[in-house]
Parts: sequence; structure tokens; C-alpha cells
Amino acid sequence: MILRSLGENPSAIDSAGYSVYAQRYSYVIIGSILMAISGACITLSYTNFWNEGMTGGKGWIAYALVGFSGWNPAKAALGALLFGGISILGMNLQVYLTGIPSQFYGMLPYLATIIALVLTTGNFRKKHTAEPAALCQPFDRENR
Amino acid sequence: MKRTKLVAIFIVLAVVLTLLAGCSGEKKPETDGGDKLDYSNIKIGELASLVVNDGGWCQATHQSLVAAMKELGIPEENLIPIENVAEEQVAVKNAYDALVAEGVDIVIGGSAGYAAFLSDLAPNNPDVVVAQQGDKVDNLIGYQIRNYEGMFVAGYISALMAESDKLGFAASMSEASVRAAINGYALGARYANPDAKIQLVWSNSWYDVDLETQSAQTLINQGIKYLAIEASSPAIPQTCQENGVYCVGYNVDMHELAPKAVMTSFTWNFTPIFKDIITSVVEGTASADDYYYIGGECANLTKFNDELVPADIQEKAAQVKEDIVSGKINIYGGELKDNQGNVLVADGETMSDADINQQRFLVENVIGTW
Repeated sequence: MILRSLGENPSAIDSAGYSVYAQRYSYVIIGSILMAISGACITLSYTNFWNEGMTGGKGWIAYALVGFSGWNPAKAALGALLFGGISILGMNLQVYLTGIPSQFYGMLPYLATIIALVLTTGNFRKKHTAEPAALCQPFDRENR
Repeated sequence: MKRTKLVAIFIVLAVVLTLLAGCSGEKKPETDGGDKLDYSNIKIGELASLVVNDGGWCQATHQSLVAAMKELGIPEENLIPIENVAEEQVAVKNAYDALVAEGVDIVIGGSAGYAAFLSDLAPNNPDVVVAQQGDKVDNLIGYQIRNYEGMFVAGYISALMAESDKLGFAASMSEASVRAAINGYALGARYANPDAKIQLVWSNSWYDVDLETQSAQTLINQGIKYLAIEASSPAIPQTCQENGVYCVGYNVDMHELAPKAVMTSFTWNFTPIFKDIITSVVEGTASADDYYYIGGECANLTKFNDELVPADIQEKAAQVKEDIVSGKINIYGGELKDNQGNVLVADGETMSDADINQQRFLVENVIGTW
């Protein structure tokens, strides 16, 4: 509840006696820890080496996933499986459907990303989204 | 509110001042220009598309350059690498200008994508010789290795060792030298086993650990036990090791990364080429018409992994290598068909170097499209 209102309306929790700055910073730190774990996963579990640029643009797909999932962590996890599945599907289609240029299959995950972004933003966004209203809004106590 | 603004202005000023201070601090004394006939004065600039220790392509170029300089007695600090140079006009121009300002005598364009931009830039500084990997382009010395010679031997041993007729190839992007590697491997496999087929999977990326892993996994899921790769990261050899299958490394010696999977590696040995280019520059005989398209010692496989490759196969491989160098095996000799059924080279004829270097086909026993 505190996390929700922190995103939607930080003044509310400020009035309730919580420190907006402390809360915001601690969530940024928790989020960064999660990101660091996922990065460590690539270098330590998925492969066991490190090199510059080894994430290969996956961040953009992660960004699209946030919109795709409507800010719902459970849907984001499902979406991640879907995107991963699409790229593996492309590899396998190269073996089973050999007539089509492989570049087409390589394009699939990005095509899915664009479609997801278009559908979840702009004019297609009919209903109220779950995007926190106060996202990226600096909180200034003096200016309430 | 006002206080916040003041603080913001102060921070911006501080940052700007720090940046300015940084710029002035980096000024270096002018390097001595003038004539250089002595090797120790030769300065070499290198443009790398990734980092020079990328464990792949850039590392192969860099190591060759360092080795060539060492053999010629050029101190290593005379090599100025610029890393992460994107294959686009502004990035190449900035890197080139920076190297010229440092007073280099030779610029090495370590990625085929620099060719068009360096070709336009080179006439600006006639004193600076530019050598470019890939095809022959105006104003630049060109260099390329006949990688298919090494890959032919790699395909040959893979087919000898494999129990099934099906081998795999995990490739990066469809580019002529990559296709040359695939076709070389396929022709070598066919030389050992006329029924050998190569299943090809593209990751369509020069460097993507995730896609490379997936491409190897896809081939392994097909039941393929021996695969070749054309990729820069250690991801594929490691995937092979995890699945108990074998592969031929590429670009650099990949043995250390997956000792139980890598039978041998194809390595780019540019050292003899770089030595020739540097020597010709020092002696003043370098010309922008020079083109190096070399196989033999430049396109070697590394020492075979004795635990994986039996001694008799190693001997046969050495014989094949010898036969290629002596011309007894004519890799691109006819009759050669592509996998669409078109005849590429008629019986008794040989493909021209230009056609080999710019090949736009996959040979008959490759399953896949380019």
C-alpha cells in the first residue's frame, strides 16, 4: 500500500508520516539489487564469462515487457517466457522450415516488441494504465 | 524553491568546469614527425569494433598486430588501439582523425564495415597508410585470409569423427567471409564423407551470447554431435561442453573455455600479413593497390586436443592441410554446385579469387539459406 501510494501520490504518504525520500531510495536500491542479480545470472549461470556488450540489447525487450505486462510482475514473468519462446522458435524454424531467409526469424522478437509497445502505449491505451502517476516526478516538499 | 535552483546551477557549473579541466589536462606534447626509416619509430593505429580482448575477432586482429610488431622490434606502446568504433561514418572519422593527430604511420581497419568510410578519409593524409580487412577497396591496402582452407580441415576431421552424416554449423551474420567458412567446412566434410550434410543456423548477430547459446542448443537438439561455429563469444563451446558434444572453435584458441568440447580452433593469423604491410611502409614500397589474400600459415587450426581427436585422424588432417597448400586439393575446383542446384564451377575449372572472396552461395551439402 505504501509502495502503491509512493508511485501514485507521494504527498499522501508524506502526510501519513513516512519519509518519501527514504522510501524512494530504498525501492531504487532494491530494484537495482534485482537488476544486478539478473546481470550476474547471465555471466555466472547462463555462461561463465564476462565481456563488454554481452547483454546484446536485451534491455530494450525488458523495457517493452514492462509496458506489455501493464506493470504487473506476474504478467511480466509470463511475457518474458513468451519473448524468449519467440526467439527460440525462430532458431528452430530455421531447421524445420528451411525455405525462408533466417533474417526473417531473427526479426521476430523485435517485431513482437514493437507490436507490444504500440498496443500498450499511445492511442491504443484505452483504459487507465497501471503506470504509476508520480513516476519520474521529483518530489519537493516545499512545493506541494 | 530558489535555493534548489541555485544548487542546480552550481552543480551544472561544477560539472562543466571539471570537463573543461579534463580536456586541457589531456594535451600531450607533439610527437616528433619527420622521416622514419627505423622500425622503432613506427606508430600504428588500430580500429576495433569491440574491445581488443573480446575473446573473438578483435582479439585475433590485435594479437596478430602485437606479434608482428614484436617480431619487427617495434615497441608495444607504439600501438594505439581505439576500441568500440561503430561501423558508421562519424565514429570512423573521429577515430581516424584521433589516430592521425597522434602521428600514426599506419591505420589498421579491423572490421570490414570500415572500408567505405576509410576509403573516403585516406586521401586526406597521404602519409598515413591505411590497411583494411575485407575486400579490395580504393585508396586502402586490403587484407583477407583464406579462412576456408582451415575450415576445410575442420570439416574434414568433424566428418571423420562423427558417426552420423549430419554436422552442425552455428553462424553469426551472413557475410562473405562467414559464408566462406561455412562452405569450407561443408566441402571438407564432404571430402571425408560424400554423404555429409551441414545443418546451418544463423544467430543474425555479430555478438549475442544469448542467441549464440540458443543456436547451438537448437543444433544439439537435432541430435547433432559435431558442430562448427563462426561466432565471437565463448557461449557456443560452453553450451557444447554442457551437452557433451564437440565443436571447432573460431577466431581465437577456444580450448581453455571448454576443454572437453573444443577439438581445435580456427584462428586468424594476420601476423605475416601485418609484417609485410609494416615492412613495405618502412621501405616506402607500400601502395594502395596492395592486396593480401593469403591462406596457408595464416589460416591454421590450433593444436588438436589429444583427448578428443585420435592420432590417426590428426595425421590425416595434417596430410589434407599439406595437400591444400601444395594445390593437390583444389577446394573451389569443379564441379561445384550450390544448394539451389545451380552449377557454380564447371568440371575442370576453378573459381576465381574474386568470386571466392565475395561468395554469395552455400554449397550443395549445406542445409539452410543465406
